[in-house]
Amino acid sequence: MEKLVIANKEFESRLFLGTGKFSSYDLMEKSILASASELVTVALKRVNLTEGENDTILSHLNHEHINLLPNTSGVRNAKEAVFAAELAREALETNWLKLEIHPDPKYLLPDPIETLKAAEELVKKGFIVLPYINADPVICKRLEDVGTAAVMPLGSPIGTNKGLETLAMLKIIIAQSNIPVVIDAGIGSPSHAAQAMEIGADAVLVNTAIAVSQNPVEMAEAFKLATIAGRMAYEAKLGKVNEKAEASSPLTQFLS
Amino acid sequence: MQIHLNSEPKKVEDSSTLEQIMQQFGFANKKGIAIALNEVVIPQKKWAETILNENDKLLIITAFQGG
Repeated sequence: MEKLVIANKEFESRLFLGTGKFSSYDLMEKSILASASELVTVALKRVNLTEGENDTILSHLNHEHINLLPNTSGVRNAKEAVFAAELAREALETNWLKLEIHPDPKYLLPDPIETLKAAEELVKKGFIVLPYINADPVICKRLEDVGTAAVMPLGSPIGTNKGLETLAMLKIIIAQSNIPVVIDAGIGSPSHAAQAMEIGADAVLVNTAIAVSQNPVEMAEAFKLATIAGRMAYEAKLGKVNEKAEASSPLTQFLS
Repeated sequence: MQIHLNSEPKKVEDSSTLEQIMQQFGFANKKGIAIALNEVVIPQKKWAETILNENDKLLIITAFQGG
């Protein structure tokens, strides 16, 4: 299979994982290892001054093949996103960034205007920007134009597990993008991930579907296999869709 | 003097450096944290030379679970 390249970095795996919602760090770590993912997101929060924090998330993500993708979750506009990005770069020593600006808590849909504004500024400041964005082909092209390293359009709202409800728009985004397209949010089952890969997405980002599964480690492996299967099918090229039947057995007259 | 550490009021010595404050609150050798002083990120190599003033606002963040 072809390797995925984002900002000159090669990835064997086309499955990215979020670290949210896992019931323990141990389960999170085992799931990430089972997924074979090489890029995982982390959020930022204020340190707890009173309790102290001995077990940190970072000690569970300390594997050579795992790269961190800090996100800007919690910010409401471009200004706050740039501030969060600078904190993330300092704390995690990476200039990779999942830019996400979704001020409305009900549907968590990205604000495209603030996202574009922040993306432009962050690219100028040297960040590798992967913006979470609506499945809107026009805004995806605008993000590409300002120099983002990828676009991450949503399949359906975060955490809904509804799959690729934006399928028609995702296909247009993939068809006209010159940068990798990572389908993020809403992927609820391995078949959704396989479908994303079959339509030509470069990668998928999955969190809730794995983290809240009854068995996150097995679900992580299922997503790994589905992502590989979908990509293999894409590279092998799927057959065309026909309106009428086409026999797959020879219609010879052995009954005379 | 008083400063605000993640919005909590804290008493510290006058003219403390950021490095001294971080030692005082147990963050001196922590990995994976970042600090902003009055909403400006201060890189770790500048902690020793950064002197705090009355009512300064410090924000200390770290990584956490998120998608």
